[in-house]
Amino acid sequence: MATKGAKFRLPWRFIWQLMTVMLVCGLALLVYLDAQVRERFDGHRWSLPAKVFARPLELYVGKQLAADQLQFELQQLGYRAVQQVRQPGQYRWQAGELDIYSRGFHFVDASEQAVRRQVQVKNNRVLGLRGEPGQAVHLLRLEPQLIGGIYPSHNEDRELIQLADLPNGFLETLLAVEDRAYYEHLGVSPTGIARAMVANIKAGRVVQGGSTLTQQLVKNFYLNANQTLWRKALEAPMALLLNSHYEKDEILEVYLNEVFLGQQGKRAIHGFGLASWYYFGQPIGELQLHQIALLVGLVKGPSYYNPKRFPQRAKQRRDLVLAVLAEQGLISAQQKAIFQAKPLRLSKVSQFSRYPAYMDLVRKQLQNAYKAKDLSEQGLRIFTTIDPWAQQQADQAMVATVKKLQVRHGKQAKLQAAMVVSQRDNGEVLAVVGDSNGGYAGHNWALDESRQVGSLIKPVIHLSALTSGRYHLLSPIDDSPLSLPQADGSVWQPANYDKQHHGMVPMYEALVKSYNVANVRLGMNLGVEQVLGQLSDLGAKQHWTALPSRLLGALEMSPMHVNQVYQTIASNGFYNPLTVIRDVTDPLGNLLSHYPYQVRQAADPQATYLLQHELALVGRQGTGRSAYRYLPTSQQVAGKTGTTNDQRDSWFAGFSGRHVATVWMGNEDASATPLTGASGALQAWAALMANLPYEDDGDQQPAEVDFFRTDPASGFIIDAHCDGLVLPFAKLRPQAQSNCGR
Amino acid sequence: MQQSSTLTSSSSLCWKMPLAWQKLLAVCALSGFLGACASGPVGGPVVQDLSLGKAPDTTSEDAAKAVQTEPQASAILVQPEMHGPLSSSAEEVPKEKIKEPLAEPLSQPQASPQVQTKTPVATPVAPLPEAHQQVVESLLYEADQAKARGDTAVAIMKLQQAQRIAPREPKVYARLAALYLADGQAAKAEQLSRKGLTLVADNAAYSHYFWRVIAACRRFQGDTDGEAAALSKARQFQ
Repeated sequence: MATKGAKFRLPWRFIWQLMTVMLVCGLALLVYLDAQVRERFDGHRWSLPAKVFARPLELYVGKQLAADQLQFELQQLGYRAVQQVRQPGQYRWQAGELDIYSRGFHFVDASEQAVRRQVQVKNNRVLGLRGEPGQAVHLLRLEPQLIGGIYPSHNEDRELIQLADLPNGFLETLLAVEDRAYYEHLGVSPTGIARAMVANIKAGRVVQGGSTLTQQLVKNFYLNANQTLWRKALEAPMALLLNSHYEKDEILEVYLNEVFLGQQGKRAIHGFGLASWYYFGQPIGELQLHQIALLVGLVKGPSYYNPKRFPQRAKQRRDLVLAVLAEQGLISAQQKAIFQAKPLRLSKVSQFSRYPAYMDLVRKQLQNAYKAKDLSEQGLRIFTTIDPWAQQQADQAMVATVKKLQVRHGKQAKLQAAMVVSQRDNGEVLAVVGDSNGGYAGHNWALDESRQVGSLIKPVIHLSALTSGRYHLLSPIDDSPLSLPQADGSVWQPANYDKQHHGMVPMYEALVKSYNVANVRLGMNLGVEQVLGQLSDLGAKQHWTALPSRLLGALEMSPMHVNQVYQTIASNGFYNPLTVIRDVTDPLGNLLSHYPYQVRQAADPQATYLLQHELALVGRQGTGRSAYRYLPTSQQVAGKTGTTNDQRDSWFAGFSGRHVATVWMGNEDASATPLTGASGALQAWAALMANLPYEDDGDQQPAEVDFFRTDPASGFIIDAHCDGLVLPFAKLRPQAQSNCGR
Repeated sequence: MQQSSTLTSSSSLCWKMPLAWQKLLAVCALSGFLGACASGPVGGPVVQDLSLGKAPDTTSEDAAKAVQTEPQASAILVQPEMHGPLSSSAEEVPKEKIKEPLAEPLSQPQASPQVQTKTPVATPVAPLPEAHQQVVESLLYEADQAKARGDTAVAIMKLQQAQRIAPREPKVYARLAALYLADGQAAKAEQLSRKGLTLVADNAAYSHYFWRVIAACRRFQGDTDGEAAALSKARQFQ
């Protein structure tokens, strides 16, 4: 029996030893955890994707601005239409008068304050701009739209905020729902757990969590999503440690920026700052209580309560949060009712992948200068030249035109298209359309695809001719049959599109009607080398061997490169490299790179002026005239159609007002299409121009150029009272003849 | 939802091992105290401090590439210095290459602008006409102010802003040319003047002005013949 008693004796010694070992281990673990908590919290910097901004909208007297565009821009910026403008982010638009309170923005060159302004708009033009009484205001620069980001592999995105950025009622709501005793507890809250348990037992399911915000932060911040029991066990002690080291406000601020609040495709929405933009299209400081309630409600389950996918469920959750506020006496029952009655009204504006083809171009340009890691982690701010309105119109014009062509010619499964729009006189790229859907999936047809340019080359031949000083617009050019022996012994006989020959034609007509034979003959007289040299002066990057077929555009260029060439022609012969970025700054707004205005004379300005006039005639009476189905006759259009063999490619490149644009259409596999330059690309080009603001900067006629009335048939300058065509001439002029040239 | 389970497990632990729990708390408090003492001023992941100083491998060489990828597109004042102190602002970026103070008066058209040349051809240039738009005049004024405080970078940005608003306003080109010339970028200043000339037809004041700037640019580059030719052009518009 004694042995039996001895059997039951507790091994105290062993237990004490065990406890000592456990204590030592526990202590070691604590020291380790403590170091972890502090190291991670002190040393933490979020990886911030680079933010890409559009050009800011600038309002000033004289600015062309359609009401549609104004509404679009304000909507994209998340401005709210109100009856009475009281705070930043609000506007009132009535009877041509815009009352707006801007938000302010830290630009590279200046910090714009939030200001209230009155803008008077009439007939699509800003007529007046007023500020405070007695204050002269000349310019209102709104904040630029965020058009995207450059994301790292994990795609975590956030917009950092501080406690001071929060609107009234935000913290109260967050704490009321998630952690009532936040400012009292030590990181874990036994009362919170008890209350949660009671609530859960009452409800028969889990309705409340007992975690404090500190614990939630620990879970997100230190412990990865791959939860194990071990990690869960660490949560509470780590929360205690965190709480002991840092101020409550510090912890809270990190929590506000860390919390996961949604998923948009691959992009994870972290923090309330970004969530506010993502769900409401507004900065967090402008949110009202019902919006705050929605965001706070999301913490419990961003996917389950996703307001974009499950609006009903999200509204219930939001209303529950509002009810909690009322229950705790933070709002009155009446206020609760008012806010609960409000619709969700989510933002329809996406700040992600809205302009994929343009972003592709931005990324390519940045890759040359910045490392991928810096772009995705350093929170750089990229200020681009994209004009969101022009981009929107370009996308729409392309989609609508392709749809129309499908109706007319039957389904064209392989049809692709691209468009580039830039600003005349400075080369800023305003819009890029990368495929026929207005989207872009992998292959950017505006940048990555080079096709034969066909007749787009002809203006370059004419520029060479006019520059040589041996030709004027009425110089006779022979369009009769032409045979050119080739190096391989064969004979090349270029033909016209209409299969006819037109004898001697005035030079301008050879361009306006796009006669192949006459232009090849003109080009051969000048020399193919000469023409290709002119082309590269204008900004073409490639080099081609000098073959006669080049004179009919047997050379491949991308729409972007074509646009560069026409940009130079539009800018009076001055080359401005096409640019997409104005500035790059660090997150605090310090300048890292500035891309300045570049200009280089690439062609003779007088010759270019004469060429511009020829291109305007293409629009008025030549292959480009169907543009005027979309445009008023008062609008100047100058450009050139291009159609390649078997109608494989349909091009139009040209300029109008302050815009230069190039459109290409063709099949993916370069097979024949039913389209010519005029019936395909030009249609999209003109549809775009019809919706862009048209600014006519007038005609700057060079000093040595004069206009004369002419008789194109006889090639003479005739008296002003005769019927004839008025053309510009530099030093070289046709002879004058009385009798109206008869 | 998920949160409660963690807490219940740790709270049950709490009841079964009160002693251990108390010790744990004590150690927590102690380590907290020690930590607070040892770590000095506790700096959390302060939101406002988005230091780029951590950027490990961006060199100023990379930065320089930012502007050298396309020779024509090179930036005048770019020094993406990612290691640099955060306080360095855009204003501190440029200011280099100023060989000699040329053409200073050009930026003050009201005060009889005139190219300062070594050869005594100091014929006063008539003031340039008012820009067509008030907003342009106000941006030119802001550019002047920026330049006066030595902030060439901002002055250039203001002029570029004006150029975007009024791309065919010769006065903007006149100011840009003067600014670049003063900055020692004579080739660029000449190109800007040439572009300006295409916008003024036969306006005498502007034509004279631009040819004077071109003459100064050529002199700066040591092209005396070119300078003489430009001056003779300028004289035609007096």
